[in-house]
Amino acid sequence: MDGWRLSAVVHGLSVGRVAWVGRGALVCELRSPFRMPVASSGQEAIYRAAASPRLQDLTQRLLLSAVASRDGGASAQGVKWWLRFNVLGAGLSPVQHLDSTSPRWQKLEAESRLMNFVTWLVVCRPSGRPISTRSARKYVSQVVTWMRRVYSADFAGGLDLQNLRDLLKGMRRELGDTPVRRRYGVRTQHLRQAMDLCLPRKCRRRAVRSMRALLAVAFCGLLRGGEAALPDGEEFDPRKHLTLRHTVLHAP
Amino acid sequence: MLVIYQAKNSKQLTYKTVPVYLVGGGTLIDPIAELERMLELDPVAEDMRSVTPLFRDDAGAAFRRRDVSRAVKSLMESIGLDPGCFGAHSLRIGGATAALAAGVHPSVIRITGRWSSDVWQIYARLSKQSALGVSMVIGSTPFDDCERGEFMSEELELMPEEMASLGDAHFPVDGVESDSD
Repeated sequence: MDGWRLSAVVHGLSVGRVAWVGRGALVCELRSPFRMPVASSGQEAIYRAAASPRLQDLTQRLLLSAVASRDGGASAQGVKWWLRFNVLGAGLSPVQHLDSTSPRWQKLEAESRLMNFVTWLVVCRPSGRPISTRSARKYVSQVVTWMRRVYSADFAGGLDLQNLRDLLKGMRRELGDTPVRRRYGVRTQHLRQAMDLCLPRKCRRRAVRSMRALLAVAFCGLLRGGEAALPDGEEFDPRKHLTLRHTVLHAP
Repeated sequence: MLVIYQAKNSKQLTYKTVPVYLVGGGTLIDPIAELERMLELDPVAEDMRSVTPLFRDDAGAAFRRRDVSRAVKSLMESIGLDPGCFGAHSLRIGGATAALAAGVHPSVIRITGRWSSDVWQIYARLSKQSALGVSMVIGSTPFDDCERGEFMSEELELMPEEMASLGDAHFPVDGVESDSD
């Protein structure tokens, strides 16, 4: 009973009228009087788990699984660049623990660093390839989300980042957006013509026959490059990648 | 039939495999004939099939995505096309476009291409065959429509430059039909 009374006191409500408050909103209210719940036999372990530190760990893991990579967004490209910009470039910690009560100059400094990050991305092209203002904006969003999810910290203590928005606007006006890369489809007749020219059917080299088969399978099976071949940067793993075992040929 | 484990959405759907059904007999591209020729030249012992990459180079290593991209660029360059406009994804775009041109139903294209949304429409491009097919179908199909809706006014408004080019021509005032209508 003590626990319930304590809960009621914490919420500033009288005993018998206990409310659960989630993120400032009243979620549920119990009308008085209520009876103290008693765990039925055999269910003690279930209720003991409520206080287990493993529950906390599991909750954290599930939270991080909100994004497909299951790391809270730490492997997002924008976050990777943010880590490199801070650690390798500026020599500063990429994580900031500011909240709404932090001094304004600290918040402005955090925003300023994020603005420098954006300029660095677009102008210095760390990947060697042009990064458009549009992509830089997405990267900023990834950094802000990652910090909120993993460190429960609002970027720049919740500052509205108006200067950053203006920077992006100015950047678009001044530098323009990188033109979208043109990508044409291969025409069936062109693929055949070019394969016969460069990968002759009679050639007995394994690579030639294999590439012919790959191109034909990818074209007719609407495969992505990373499905027909090994995705760049990955090592071959027969459990994940295409092997001969994965083909089944049926007679018509 | 080909079973793919490494589908694009496999991060969300762990252990989900995607079967890809391929049928031979294509007059220009025949994936089954190409697969058979490849296997005939380079037979692999039964117990090694599960660890041998399906598509591999002379050294026996699996082709990488960038190898496919280079091959496509090089092939297109060999027939006089701009290699900068092609890449590994061009195969998927071309395949989807060919399917649409042949009159394959859009929902079938979406399923066979394993698109979970309408993004397949970006891949399937208009071809002369599709366009001709559409006009032929339109010109051959009588119909009795059972709905008479009204256009939203914006859809009928001319662009400012079109307006300007028409000079002093008479335009109907909003809500009042002109005689020519």
